[in-house]
Amino acid sequence: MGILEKLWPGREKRIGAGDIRVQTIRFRKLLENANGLLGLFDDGHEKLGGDYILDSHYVASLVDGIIEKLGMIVHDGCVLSPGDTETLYARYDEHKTVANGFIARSKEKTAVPKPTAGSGSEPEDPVGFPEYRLLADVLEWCNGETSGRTVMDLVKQSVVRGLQELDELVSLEERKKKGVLLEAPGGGEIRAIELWAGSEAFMPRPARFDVNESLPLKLLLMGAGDSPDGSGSRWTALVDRDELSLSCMDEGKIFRMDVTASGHRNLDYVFLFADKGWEKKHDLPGEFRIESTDRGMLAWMFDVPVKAIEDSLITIGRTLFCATS
Amino acid sequence: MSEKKLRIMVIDDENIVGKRLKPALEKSGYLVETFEDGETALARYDEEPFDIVVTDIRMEKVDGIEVLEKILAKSDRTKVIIITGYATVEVAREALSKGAFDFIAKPFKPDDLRTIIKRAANELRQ
Repeated sequence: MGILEKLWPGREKRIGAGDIRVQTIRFRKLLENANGLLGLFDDGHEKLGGDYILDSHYVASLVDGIIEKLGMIVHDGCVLSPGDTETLYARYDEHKTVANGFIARSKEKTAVPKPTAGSGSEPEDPVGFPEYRLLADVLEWCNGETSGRTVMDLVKQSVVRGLQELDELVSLEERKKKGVLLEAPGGGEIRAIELWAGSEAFMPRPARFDVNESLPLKLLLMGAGDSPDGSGSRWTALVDRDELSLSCMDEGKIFRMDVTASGHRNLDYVFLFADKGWEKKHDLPGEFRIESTDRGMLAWMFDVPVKAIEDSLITIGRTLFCATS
Repeated sequence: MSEKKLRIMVIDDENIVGKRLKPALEKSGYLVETFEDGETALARYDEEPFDIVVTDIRMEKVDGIEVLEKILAKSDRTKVIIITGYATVEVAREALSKGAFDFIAKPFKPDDLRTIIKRAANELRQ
């Protein structure tokens, strides 16, 4: 039984309910939507800085985009882990109500601030404009201090929920001994499964698999080097040329990573789910944004040059396969 | 002798745009008047022509395309710059085909608009 399984005792047993590859691809889609949502947060924060001239249509469009992406994330989270979806959808409905309130506010004609005394002109400081106040409120709703009620809180819930089911499927796959067994640096082993293969494939000819064919896996292993004093951990990796979904199968260890390293900035990302404090132990590159949950740490890196993705994989690989990981 | 200041008209039904653009453009040495609807702006243009017109494309009653057509019918010397909203590339293309000098998408930085206005000003002064 994997550590993630232990973390959710008493949950509904649905082992074998889905294909590991199909569910992994769905989870990766959920992460792509989460990346898109976080990108919208960033865009809003950039505009709030005051360097841009915006109007209420921008804020309404931002709110529309956020609620649409959030809906897709919640949907994927519920499809991945179908039991008790009502709570998640109820939270989503609450967010839709809040979003509608913001859109209604964006349509109100509010008085503009008075000119600054003695300036003889209209104010340049955007803070006083109702559009900026509305944008500030929207961003507070997205990822502010209101713990437990923000959009980000629901994203985290959905991501963690999706991970529950995946953990079961990965554990099942490991027990079936499918895929290709590779040696990992430091005496461990990686069970590799083709992410996009047809249903008959599952790498039937182990000798044909070459880690160099998967850039993310290659970079991770490159970072690890020979690591003679490694942890000897067991891993399951769903791999493709540009993609990797890696899970640690050791008892008592939480680590999952999803990567796309295609060279297209808008597609590439690294996502991690690990023990709380993992980034402190392992010097997670600064580009990562960290979110903590009661299950563990979530970390994202996206919208960065592919070089930053590649460097982070080498860095992570260096610590992942060593004895203290 | 100093050059005559260029006169710029800004039309946007979202008053935040005019309120923020006016001081930003005046700092660059232009004379700026702002309007929240196309009708009032066109009436003002009839009283006194402007060198450059910056207009939002989506407005009630008289939209930006109509402003563009009416201004160019009055004076083909005036440079009209269109402000577009989101995902309105087609409309921007239509504006350019109808004689707009250039377009800029919201949200934008005042500096980006200043660059377009500077190009328009250079053409006007040639």
